[in-house]
Amino acid sequence: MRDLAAHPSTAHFIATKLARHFVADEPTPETVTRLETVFRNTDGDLRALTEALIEEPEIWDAPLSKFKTPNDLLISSFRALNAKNLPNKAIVSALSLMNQYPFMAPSPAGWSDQTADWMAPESLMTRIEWIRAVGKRAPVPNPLEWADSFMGPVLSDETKQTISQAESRSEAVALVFSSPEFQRK
Amino acid sequence: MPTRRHLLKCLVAGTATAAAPISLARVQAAPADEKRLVVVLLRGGMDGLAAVPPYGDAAYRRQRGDLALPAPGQDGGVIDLDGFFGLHPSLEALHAFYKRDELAVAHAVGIPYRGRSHFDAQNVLENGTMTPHSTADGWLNRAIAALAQHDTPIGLSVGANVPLIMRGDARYTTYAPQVLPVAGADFLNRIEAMYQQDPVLAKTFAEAQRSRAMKAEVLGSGRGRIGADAYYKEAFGAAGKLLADPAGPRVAILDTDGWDTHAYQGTTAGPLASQLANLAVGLEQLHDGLATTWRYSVVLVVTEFGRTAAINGSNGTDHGTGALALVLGGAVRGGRMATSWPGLATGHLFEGRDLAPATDIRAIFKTALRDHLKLPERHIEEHVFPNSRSVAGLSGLIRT
Repeated sequence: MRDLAAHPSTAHFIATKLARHFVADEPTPETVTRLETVFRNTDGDLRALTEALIEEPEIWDAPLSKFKTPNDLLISSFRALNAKNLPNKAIVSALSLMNQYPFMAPSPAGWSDQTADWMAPESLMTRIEWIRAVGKRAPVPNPLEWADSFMGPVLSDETKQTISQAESRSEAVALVFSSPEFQRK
Repeated sequence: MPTRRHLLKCLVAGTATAAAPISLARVQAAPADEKRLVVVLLRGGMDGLAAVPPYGDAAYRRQRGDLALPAPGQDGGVIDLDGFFGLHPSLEALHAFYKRDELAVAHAVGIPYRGRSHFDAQNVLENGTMTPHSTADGWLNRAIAALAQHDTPIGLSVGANVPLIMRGDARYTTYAPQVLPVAGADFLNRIEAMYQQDPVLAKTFAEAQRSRAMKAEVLGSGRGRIGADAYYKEAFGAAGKLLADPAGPRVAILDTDGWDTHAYQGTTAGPLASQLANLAVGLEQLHDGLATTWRYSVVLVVTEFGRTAAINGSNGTDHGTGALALVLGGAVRGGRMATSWPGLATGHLFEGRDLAPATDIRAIFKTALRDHLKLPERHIEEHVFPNSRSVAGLSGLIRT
């Protein structure tokens, strides 16, 4: 194991995986090389690697380049609504509807980390339908203020305007969760 | 259609404090009062000038332009009501109610709020006061608090969540339909506009819309996987059946949305025509569900505001003021317009753009509470609609 961990390909592999997950589907070779170097210089210290990731300029240049998986979407929506004690059935049926049934990844490699595997026309519509159902159950008192509380810096003027023109609070919640800023990560 | 037993089983408690689960065992039938009241909320600002066009108004065609409906007798023409007003052809089913003297049409009604925000206007419509966000409960809840309470709650809220109008101390039950209404064209247009910031999402969404439309055309059903009127059928039909049960609830709120028609609302066909057809189907289901209790029922169909008199630049209409309300039921003295008509000539419009609100909508609500549910005047004035003494009820709207 020690030999494997020290092999240069391992550094490259781990650096690529991390960059793909946190930075972009196709991270630049520079980003991967920088992370790879940190991995080698610290003997694979994951803490140091994480810190390097946070320092990575590419992450901050394009903060919303990744597309949320259904799992990301579900967790972030419920967190934004401060929803607690949800029945397992609701969670499983939502994830199954959006094709990410828990613990049922299609291969031992796990769920895809690439936008193209999650953003397809019909699955986007399914997301929006699920989001509408959530909005109907959870209209918030002041949608614009609420959206600002968890998306403040990335919320665009276009999205703000769309939210303020929603025909009801439920629709406003649905528009917040459908927005490009919320769908991406 | 679900059976009544199934519906009763589906009833779930509204909130831990306010709602109580309905008992499955038949309790002693509630004595005396058979009166039923249903409020149907159309969120988004329903275009009353499209639903009940004043085709006899000299300014109608000029204001509405391409959105004006053909005259009665023409292909796709309005269905005449009284020689001046007519029904949108999608509401044809309501003509039977009108002919049976069970539908009164209140045009040019308005809430006591003149802003153009949906959120604030809906809040005023539901809270029963003059200002948005001034109460934590709704007027319908405060109204039923004055009725004799029985073992089971009087209130019923149909929809995914309980709207403000039914929230409060008086007990209510809830029923959540299994199907979700199909997303309205306006909602999808908003998403489309929002996605213009993100080319990849915009392209994916456009493709999704195109493929859904194609499938709907080939399969010949609605606009997507679920028929457009499935929600209306289930929600309204269920409300009727639950209300018809002698031991069930007696006052219900039915929540609908998708009435905000800023763009391409259509005329005899199109998004608004489909919505109106859904509403007509829903009201028929409600009537059928209520069965013999229809005789003792009043149904109020209301929206937060109307829309601009004139067509806008995108073949839609924008937020207006004077709105349409429908009052129907076996207990209604219908077959007529219960309307004071301000006219569509530009000089008569509110702020030069909207149908003027000639009747305070609270007059209709107060009439239903006073003449139908027989609530004490004092309770209505002090608790349900505070500071509304200047708004008199309408006489002769309810059969008493």
